[in-house]
Amino acid sequence: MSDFTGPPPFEFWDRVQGHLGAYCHAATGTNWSATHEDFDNPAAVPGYCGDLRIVTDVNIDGVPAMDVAAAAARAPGDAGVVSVLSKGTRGWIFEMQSNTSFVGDQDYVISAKVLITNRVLLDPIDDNGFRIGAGVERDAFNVSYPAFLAGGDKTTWHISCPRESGGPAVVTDTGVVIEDLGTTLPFAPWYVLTISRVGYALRFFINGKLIRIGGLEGVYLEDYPHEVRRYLLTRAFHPGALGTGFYMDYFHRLCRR
Amino acid sequence: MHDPLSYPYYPVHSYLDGGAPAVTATEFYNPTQDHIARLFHGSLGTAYSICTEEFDRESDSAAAAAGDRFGSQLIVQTATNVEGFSTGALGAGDHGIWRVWNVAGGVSDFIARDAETWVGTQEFIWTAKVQFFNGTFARLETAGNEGFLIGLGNLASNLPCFYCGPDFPDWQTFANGAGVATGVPVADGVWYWLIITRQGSDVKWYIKNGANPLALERTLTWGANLTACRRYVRMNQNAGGAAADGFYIDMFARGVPR
Repeated sequence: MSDFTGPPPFEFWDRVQGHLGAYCHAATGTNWSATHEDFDNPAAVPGYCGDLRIVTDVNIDGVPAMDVAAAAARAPGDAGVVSVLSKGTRGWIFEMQSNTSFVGDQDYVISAKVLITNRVLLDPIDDNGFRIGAGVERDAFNVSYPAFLAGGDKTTWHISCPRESGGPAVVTDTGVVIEDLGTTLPFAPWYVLTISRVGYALRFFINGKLIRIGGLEGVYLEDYPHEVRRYLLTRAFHPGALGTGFYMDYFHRLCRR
Repeated sequence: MHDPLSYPYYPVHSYLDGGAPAVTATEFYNPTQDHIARLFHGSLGTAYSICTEEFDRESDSAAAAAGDRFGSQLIVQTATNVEGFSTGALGAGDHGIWRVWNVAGGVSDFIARDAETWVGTQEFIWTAKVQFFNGTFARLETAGNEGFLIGLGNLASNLPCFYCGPDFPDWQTFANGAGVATGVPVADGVWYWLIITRQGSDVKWYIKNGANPLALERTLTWGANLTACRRYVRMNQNAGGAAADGFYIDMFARGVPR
């Protein structure tokens, strides 16, 4: 749009109003809700990774397994980074989550910037070697939540999501390779993982690129799921190396009320 | 940004190609720039401050003593026979809920607040979403004793707030030494959005009552210099309080120019 060559199409005006309205509602209004975690706190709060509560942090000896700490920014674009890395070589489980959001049939987006170290030492994808998304694999009500998966048995990111409302989760290979250079600098690149629902259409993005599922843009799921949360689970129950785990730069959520 | 019933919280128009309605500076261009500026200033700049507590942090232990965190941004000032902790969302539109309840029955008192803000004579917006449960409203202290209060400060501070107690059936508004009823009844099991703003010199109280639309309940012309303002919430019960009496809170935010 340049001077004296307008006007823009009406969509521009309405979208400006819509986006501005959503941001203001999320800040001080009633119709949107947003939570940002930029991992900007240089001191880890015991029991928490940023504002996410650590639900499980244990190795096979029953003691805390992971070092949760602010990490140095290592490249342009790193803006508050947390590292969650194994202290020893014993197998471990680490799980963290936020409070729940009852999204009902409303739009939402959950987005995280992550980097995995020593992916090959993680449990297989089917055993949640690394799961990040909107909730657990299957809850007490048999609901499966959309998530990105990684594991020691697969070199690529996968997606876990039902193909129909109330159906079981189906795991799909995204084809996006997870570069993994172990724990030696320079590490693998960051991955921005985004789950979006707009009008019942659930879509997945890696680094801003839409991931097709079964050849389609996304999955159309009415009334699923009712609740979401920012959630991460990772495990490596085979003997591992020091410093296995992940780095995270942010983990955000935006929901329409 | 201080009027929750107008742009940007509601669109000005749905614009159509062909020029109707016209996109004007008064309605669209200037307000859009102003609101974007406030958001950017609130995020990264110097001229505005926004703090939004979404209660999205799960508690690892109950907030049960002065100094405990309540949510992420508020601190418990007083906790007598009460606990505050996160709980699961109840229904559509709930995004991170904390609960405060009476532990053993009888006298209880809970106060949580954030740091002071010097609003001065400027505009502002304070927004909160709360709900009572377990028949709590009937067992609160009287309104004058701050059975439940939420706003910029307590009654003694003279700062604008909402408050209630079983001696009045409705939500009360308060500022500058005087309380005025709203006509909106207080009931258990209902989410209330309670918004206090100042637009120009007018302090305004708004309530969204369950599924009903947000509505302006009271206007008070009061351009006084407001100091020591906080996001402040209190639940206070006398000996009649019952175990598990309490309230949920979903959101507590403020926006104010610097």
